[in-house]
Amino acid sequence: MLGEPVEQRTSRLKLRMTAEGVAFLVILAFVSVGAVLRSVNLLILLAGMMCAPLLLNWRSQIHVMSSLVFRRHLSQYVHAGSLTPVQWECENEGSRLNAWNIVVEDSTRNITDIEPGKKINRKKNGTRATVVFPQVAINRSGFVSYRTYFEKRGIYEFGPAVVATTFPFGLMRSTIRLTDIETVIVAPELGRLSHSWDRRLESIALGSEANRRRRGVQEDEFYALRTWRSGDSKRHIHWRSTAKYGTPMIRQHDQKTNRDLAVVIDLRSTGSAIENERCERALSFAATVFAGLGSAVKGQVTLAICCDEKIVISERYHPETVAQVMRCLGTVKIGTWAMNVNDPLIETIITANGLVSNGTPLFVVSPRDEASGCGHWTSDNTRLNSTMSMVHWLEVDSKQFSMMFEPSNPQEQKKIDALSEKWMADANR
Amino acid sequence: MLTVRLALQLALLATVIVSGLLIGLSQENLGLSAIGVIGSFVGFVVCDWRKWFSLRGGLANIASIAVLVLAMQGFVEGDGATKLICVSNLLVYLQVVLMFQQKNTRRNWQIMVLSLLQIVVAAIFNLNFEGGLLFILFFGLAGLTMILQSIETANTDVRTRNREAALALASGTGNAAAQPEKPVSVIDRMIEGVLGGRDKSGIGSGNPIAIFDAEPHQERTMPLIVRHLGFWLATCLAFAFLMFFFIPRNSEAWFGPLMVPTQPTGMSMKVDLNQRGKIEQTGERIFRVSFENSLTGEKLQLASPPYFRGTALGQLRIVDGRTSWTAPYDRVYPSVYRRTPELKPNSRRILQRFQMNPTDDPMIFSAMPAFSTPDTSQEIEFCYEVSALTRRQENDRIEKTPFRYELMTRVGPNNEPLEAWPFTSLGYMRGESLERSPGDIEWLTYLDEERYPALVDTAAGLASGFADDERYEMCRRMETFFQLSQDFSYTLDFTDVQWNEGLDPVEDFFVNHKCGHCELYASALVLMLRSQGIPARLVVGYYSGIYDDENQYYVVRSDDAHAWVEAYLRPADCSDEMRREGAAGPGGAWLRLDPTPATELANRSSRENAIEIARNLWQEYVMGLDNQRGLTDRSGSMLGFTDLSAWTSGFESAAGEINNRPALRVGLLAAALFSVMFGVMRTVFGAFGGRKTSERKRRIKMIRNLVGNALGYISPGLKKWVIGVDPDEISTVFYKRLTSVLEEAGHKRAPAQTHREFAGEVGDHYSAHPDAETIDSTVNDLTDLFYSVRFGNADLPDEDRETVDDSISRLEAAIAKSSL
Repeated sequence: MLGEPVEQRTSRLKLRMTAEGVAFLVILAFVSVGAVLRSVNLLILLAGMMCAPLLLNWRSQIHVMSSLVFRRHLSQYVHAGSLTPVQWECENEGSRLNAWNIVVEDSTRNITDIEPGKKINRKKNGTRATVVFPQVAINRSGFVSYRTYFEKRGIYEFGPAVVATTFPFGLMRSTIRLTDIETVIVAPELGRLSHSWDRRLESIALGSEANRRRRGVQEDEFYALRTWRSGDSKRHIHWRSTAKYGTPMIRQHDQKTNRDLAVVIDLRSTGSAIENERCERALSFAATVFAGLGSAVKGQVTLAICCDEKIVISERYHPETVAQVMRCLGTVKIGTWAMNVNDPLIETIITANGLVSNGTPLFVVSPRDEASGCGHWTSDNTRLNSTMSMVHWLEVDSKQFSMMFEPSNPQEQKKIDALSEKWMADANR
Repeated sequence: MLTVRLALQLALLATVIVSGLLIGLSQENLGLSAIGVIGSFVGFVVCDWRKWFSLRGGLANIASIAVLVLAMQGFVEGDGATKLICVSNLLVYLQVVLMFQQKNTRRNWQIMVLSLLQIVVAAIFNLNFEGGLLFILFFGLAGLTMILQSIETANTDVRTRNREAALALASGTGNAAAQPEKPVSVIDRMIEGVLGGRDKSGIGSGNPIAIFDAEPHQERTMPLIVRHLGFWLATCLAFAFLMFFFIPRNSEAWFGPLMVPTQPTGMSMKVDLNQRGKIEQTGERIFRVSFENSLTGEKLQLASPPYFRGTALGQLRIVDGRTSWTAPYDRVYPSVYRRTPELKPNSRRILQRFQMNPTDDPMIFSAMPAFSTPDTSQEIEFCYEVSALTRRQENDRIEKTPFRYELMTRVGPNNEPLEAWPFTSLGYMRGESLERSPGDIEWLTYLDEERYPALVDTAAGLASGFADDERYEMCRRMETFFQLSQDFSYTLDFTDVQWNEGLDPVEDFFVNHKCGHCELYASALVLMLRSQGIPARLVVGYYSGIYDDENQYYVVRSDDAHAWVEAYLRPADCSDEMRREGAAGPGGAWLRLDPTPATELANRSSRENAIEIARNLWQEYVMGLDNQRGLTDRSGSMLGFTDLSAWTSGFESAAGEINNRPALRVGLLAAALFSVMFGVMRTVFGAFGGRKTSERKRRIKMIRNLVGNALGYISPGLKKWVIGVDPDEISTVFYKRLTSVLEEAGHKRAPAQTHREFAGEVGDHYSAHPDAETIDSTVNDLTDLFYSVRFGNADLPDEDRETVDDSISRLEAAIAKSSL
């Protein structure tokens, strides 16, 4: 999801001589003085010729730089572990000169740990990215982008950026500071869900569908006939058409997908690196599940996170809901509490269960095993017991979970490796 | 592929070569140019192109010290010019050393600075017109180099940052292949230190890695830069020339510090007839001269072409069996130089103002008789032994600069040049006749009659009817013999002439060929006169030149060189009229005789051409620009624009003119109405002003839509005609169609995705498709085309548009296959 690009506010144009410009000026002064003192015509001509680039450099830079408008196109959220493009747009609103060789130096930094209101030293902190607009014609826009690799989820800010050019002669450097700061939420890295997860989700869905059918609810609608494929149920064969066409034909139904999904993340950690890593894996799993929902789930989507505080998001499926989930996953902090303190997970599960329709399974993703997680929960409360019956416990370290979810996408990794090799080769060329 | 880096190296090499040529040209030292040009070129090939070898660190320092020692020899004890030459040598040698080193931004700049300093030194010396062209070429190349350097600096920054990012990325993702085996630079070590303990887990304070995945300037940038270079260069030149002409000057122009020893050269000192017509036709300008009325200052054009006399070659010798004419330089001593006399104030006189082009020749020229004025340079003297005006005595050193001098002369009542002049000998001032110097008479009448039997016989025949006191008439008869004869013609081309080796060339010309150039005619006449006992000599100089009507001076070039004859008239031979005009004196006169056919001679003179005009302009208005020619000197006339009375009278005459021409009146009325409407539109809507194009375009569009919609009520066609279609939309409409085709197939470009990334994604999606190649190439090609049209200012002709439409249709069909 991209936010609308905002026209960047600009500071006053600053002009200064480059080192080359200073050397040029010294030679020019020497030539001018000699020329005037001795009336050496060729030196006067040379002085004039040397003045011209200086003035041209000065005037063209002022004209061009004051005619440019910049916009940064940035996603609202991105995922860690992938190369994300950050696009810069430069619009030349001038009427006379094309803009050449405009260098934009953007800066980006992780501000997750920085407390609100605390001053950030933006000059020292962060990574700098340089992009160059080779040419932006009059009344046209140029687009260039750089890629950003976020290793960790969190909150990152972009800006301020500095636009500079030394074009055409490199004797002066004019700069404009684009003061707007934009933030982007980096959601956990996307992994890869195996067919095991698909089957599990499907079987649960079919179960709930069967329940509904038993209740007399028929939500599928006939969509079309198609040829039989391996794996199709024999029950769906349309025998009359099969006899007519001489090949097995299948009734295809447009399946209603407004089923619900509820995922509960247990972010319980004692603060050790191993447990933190498990929690991150749980978050990555949740991010992957929600990112891949697509048209599979169009009912109520619920994410409940149990950390230092209870976070619950429950909305009808919508891309904005997914964005909200991703923002939450990107910024949530792992909770640390002692074992003897009351476990808030149960309360979180109950809350989540109350937000989805009956029969919707609750996937609890936890770094703990089921026994230590919810095995000791006993109650006479029937509501709690029925809730617990819907819980599907997914322990992050279990073999079952590993078969279901691969924390990083090998294809993405391969792509990054190939690109880094290419860039390294280009840089060393 | 011409990358920016390669283009920069080539531009730098070209700059260095031109500066090397310039510094050599300015000193006329082509050896220095050769060192600079060849050294730089070899350095480029060895170090930049083939990368075989480069001078590094200490070796480069040693080489620099060595060239310093080599170049500075003679610096301490030398004069100013020598010191400057040493400096120029040093600049060239150091530049060659730098060209043999590995290039980077800093070194490129050092080379540029050295080139610039070379140009400074060359400017202090002197540059001719061709040098001036190189000067401008250098400026263009230097500008291009600076532009490319500016671009390459940005590229280098991006490359460095990419390298850092690629290393960090490789380290962060554990990609061993992309990581160097060991740190190779400070940056690498720094990065390795920073990234050593990178922890991917958690949401700690790790900063992202950013990389610019593109070479900022691809090869397509180069033609664009070159296309715009003309504009930048023209702007710089316009500014430079404007500034050049407006800077006030208080003194004479500087023409360089070089002094050269004088040496007698060229035809002015010797005519041996050996080259048989090899008058140099280079067209090089020798001098220009203006004639002024000394009382009123009015510029004059003489009634007939003037003869600018150089030197008299009175000494006849036979060299290699051929007639040879020389001046008696063996008899020249300091005592034979005299300052030319001054004219009496009440006599009719004309001032000649000469400006000779830079030359190392001491000889100067003048219409005769020549007299000094109080402003005549003290350097000018008349050498009576060789009968020539000189500006220095022999073996002196002269500055190689344009030389200005002025001399008086006398002309006839109708401003025609005089036919004779009276300085016959050293004793002229005392009123002595040449006849009082028997030695002079002897060698001025010397002749071996057996060598020229036909000439002698003809002369005798022509002189037979004249008495001894009719020498003037006899001379004129012999002159007209050549001029009026139909047998004789003028030529400079002897390629088809078979010379009789048994005869003297002059006799051979007279008897057999009867066609030749001025030297042959003059030689023949001198020999004929001498055979009759008349002292005569061959004179060389320049004839006529071209009168420049605008500037009112004669321009004389090397192909105006001419030879004619001077015959001695005794006092008794001179008429009263000659004496009255000042053509003859108490000692007699030297009568000018020109036997060369005049019409042919007039045709010989070359015409003005563009290069010659440019050379003159360079000499006059660049090299020789002084307070007389600078534009600031004309400030008086420029201030005349503030004179309201002049404006009023101008308006009155213009109004009268307009009234007489009805068509002009209608045109002016229309123009005035249009101007008013334009002004109103601009004021009301601001449509044709404003700084930002978008604002202006928006307003124009608003007006157009307003008018278009109003006309739409009358006819939809008119509305379409007025509003039209946005050209940008037309040029990129094919991409919209492509995206709609892909959108139908379920591919939509994400907002943060670039067009190329989107194309790549589509290609990947159809990798298993039977028409994968077609889909991939079509999508990528169309995307590239879109980039070039949308962002690269490229045009999409109609015929290409049809091809593009076909491609999209094929793509649509290929994609449709998969959905069947």
